[in-house]
Parts: sequence; C-alpha cells; structure tokens
Amino acid sequence: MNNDINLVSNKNSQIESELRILYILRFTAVAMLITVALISISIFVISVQIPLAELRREEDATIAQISQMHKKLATYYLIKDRINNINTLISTRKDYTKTIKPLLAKLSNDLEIDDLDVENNKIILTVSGSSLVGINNIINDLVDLSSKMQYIQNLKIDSLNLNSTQGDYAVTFKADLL
Amino acid sequence: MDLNKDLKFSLNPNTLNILYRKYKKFLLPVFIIIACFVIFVVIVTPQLRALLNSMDQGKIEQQKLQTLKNNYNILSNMNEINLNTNFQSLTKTLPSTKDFAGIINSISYNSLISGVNVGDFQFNVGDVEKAPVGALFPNLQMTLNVSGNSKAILLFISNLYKSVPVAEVTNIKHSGVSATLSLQFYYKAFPQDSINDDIAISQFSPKDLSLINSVSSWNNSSLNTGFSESLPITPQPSIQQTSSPSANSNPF
Repeated sequence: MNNDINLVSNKNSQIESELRILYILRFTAVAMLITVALISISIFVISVQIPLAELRREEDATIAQISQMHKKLATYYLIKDRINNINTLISTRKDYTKTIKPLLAKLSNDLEIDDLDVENNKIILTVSGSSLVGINNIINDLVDLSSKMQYIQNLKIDSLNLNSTQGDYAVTFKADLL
Repeated sequence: MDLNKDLKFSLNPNTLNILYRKYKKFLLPVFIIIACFVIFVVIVTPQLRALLNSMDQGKIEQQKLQTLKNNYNILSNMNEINLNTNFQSLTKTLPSTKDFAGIINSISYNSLISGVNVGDFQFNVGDVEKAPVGALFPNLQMTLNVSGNSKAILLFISNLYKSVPVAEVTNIKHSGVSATLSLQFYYKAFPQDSINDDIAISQFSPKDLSLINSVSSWNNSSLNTGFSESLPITPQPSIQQTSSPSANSNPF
C-alpha cells in the first residue's frame, strides 16, 4: 500500500475550520456591537438624570438671598474673628496676680513689703519686720510652697539683713513664678 | 513531494482578487470588531470619564447647595440687634486700632475703683499694623506709675485684666507705696479676606456665648455712669507719706 496516495480529500476539515472561525468572528462582532450600543445608551441616560444645571440655578438663587443679608454675614465673621483672637489672648497672657496674691497672703501682719519686682516669670520680694518670728514663718511658708511647686519654684533667699538703727530685719527672696 | 513549498508568493492583482474572493466573508465581521474597538476607546471611554466627573460634580454641587441653604437659615434666625451688640462689645474688648481713649478710660476707672493714684505714664507707639517681635498680637505698650498699698495695686492689676481693651501686665516694680507697671493693651485689625458665601457657618457655640457674656461683664468704663468721656488723670506732684505705720503694713 502506498501511503502517499490519499484518495480521501482533506478539504472538508479545512472548510469546517474556516466556517468555525467565521462563526466566532460574526458572533464576536455582533456581541461587541450590542455591548458598545448598550454602554453608550446607558451613559446617555445616566448623564441626563444628573441635574447639574438645576442645582446651579438653585445655588444662584440662594446666593442672591444670602447677599441681601450680607451685613449680617459680615458681622458674623467679624464676631467670630474677635472671639478667636480674644480667646487666644486670654489663654496666653500672663496674670501675675494669680500667683502673687497667694504668696503675699502668707505674710503676717508684722511684716511689710519693701520691694516687689516681677518680670519674665521671676519674682524678687523683699519683706521686713521687727520680729524674727515673722521672718522665720514667711521663710518656712515660702520654702514649703516652693518644695510643693505651688505658685513658685527655685526659691532662693538672696539676703537677710538687720537694720540696727531701726531694729528691722529684712529678707529678700528670689523665685520663679509658676 | 510537497508542492506548496516550491510555490513562490507574488502580490499581483490576480492574487489579490483570488484572496478577496476566498476570504470576503471574513472582512465584515473583522471590520465591525475593529470599529467597535476604536469607538470604545475613542468615544465611549471619554464619555464614561465625563459621566463619572459629572456625578462627582453633582455631589459637590448638592453639598454646596445644602451648605448655602443652611447658611441662609442660620442667618435668617440671627437677631441683628444682638449681633450688633455683641460686635460692639467684642470690638471694645479687642479694638481694631489703637484705642487711646479706651486705654485712658480703663486706667482712670480702675484706679478709682481700686483706690490707687495714677501718676505719670508714657506710651511706646510702635508699628501700626505689625506685632512687636515675640508678641502674638499688635499692642500698645505703656509704662504707668501708680501709688497705693500693695493690696490696692494688685486689685488695680486684677481689674485691668477684666477691663476693656484687653490688657496684660508684663512688669511690676513695687517699692513702698508706689509701683511702676509695664502694660500692654492689645488690638488687632479686622481681617481683609473676602467673604465666601459657600463656607458653612454655624450658630455661636456655648463657649463663644460664654466668652461674649464674660467680656460684656468686664469693666467697660465708657458704659458706666459718669465715665462716658475720658477723665483727666491728675499726676500727683509727690507721694503723700502717711504718719500711720500701718499704711505700709501687709494688708494680707
């Protein structure tokens, strides 16, 4: 038998494959046509439903109404500005009286304030009296406050003098105000 | 023997005609596929992008409209008289310019209610608009000499802190019955920004109202009877020495 001679033609298989390819191409073409058409129509329908123009008309109308109360709006913003600035000022400004008053309240009646110097959160206080008891008490009280970090810290006794002419003792304190 | 191998392919009209007749059924579907692809890329994709942008824009415009309506409602419900009153009160507390009259009135009034005598004072007039170096706000600095006992001087300072315009004492030098105080009176120009209608506004918060009430109750010398005009401050020629030793004693 001669294997080179094939009496059965292979043209049918070739035609079949061509037909299959044609069928796939036609199917794909129709599917793509339908898909593109559907997407375009959907985009059109959805975009028509977004009422941008109407929203903008309403905005313009509302802005026109607000502009009739422009003075009120301006006053409101100025009030807000003042409130914010005043709040900042009040919270940041130093009020030395809040720390000085409790300190001076510790002084007994037999003591006098000779000098009081407050600057940059530092206090220099000079008190004098004829009795060392009062001097002793104020030293103890201020040391106690400083050690507990109440109102002052870093307390130092700068000087303790006796004015023999007047019979007065004077003590000078230096401390940092809290 | 493979006949196809030995054939040479030549492009001539006859060959093209044969190829066209053989494959013409495939041309239309392929053309449609290519056209759909091109339409999708060139037309549909930009349309889709534009649609998404429109949707985002629609949400933004909807939000903007809602904000505008809220602003309109809030403004409509605000009492104009209260607004103006609050504005006046807050502007006296933090003036927009240097308020010399307000400062002098404040010092005069507080000296009277505290029991101190006000002596010499001097203003340091600096830059009109800018804050001094290290300061948060522009301020008018002044040095003030007062005389009185420690309690009165401290009361004077405390009252200054509750007076308009808003002030701060930066330096106290107290010796005997006199003291030299370094004061700062603050002011701040109004903002120059344009008002944007579509920025949301809100009712004043309880904290805001509390501040307004607080500063309204501060010593406003121009509102108190008899202090509608600025009082002259009489400089004391000399500090009066009292004979009583208890004058200098600690009142605390």
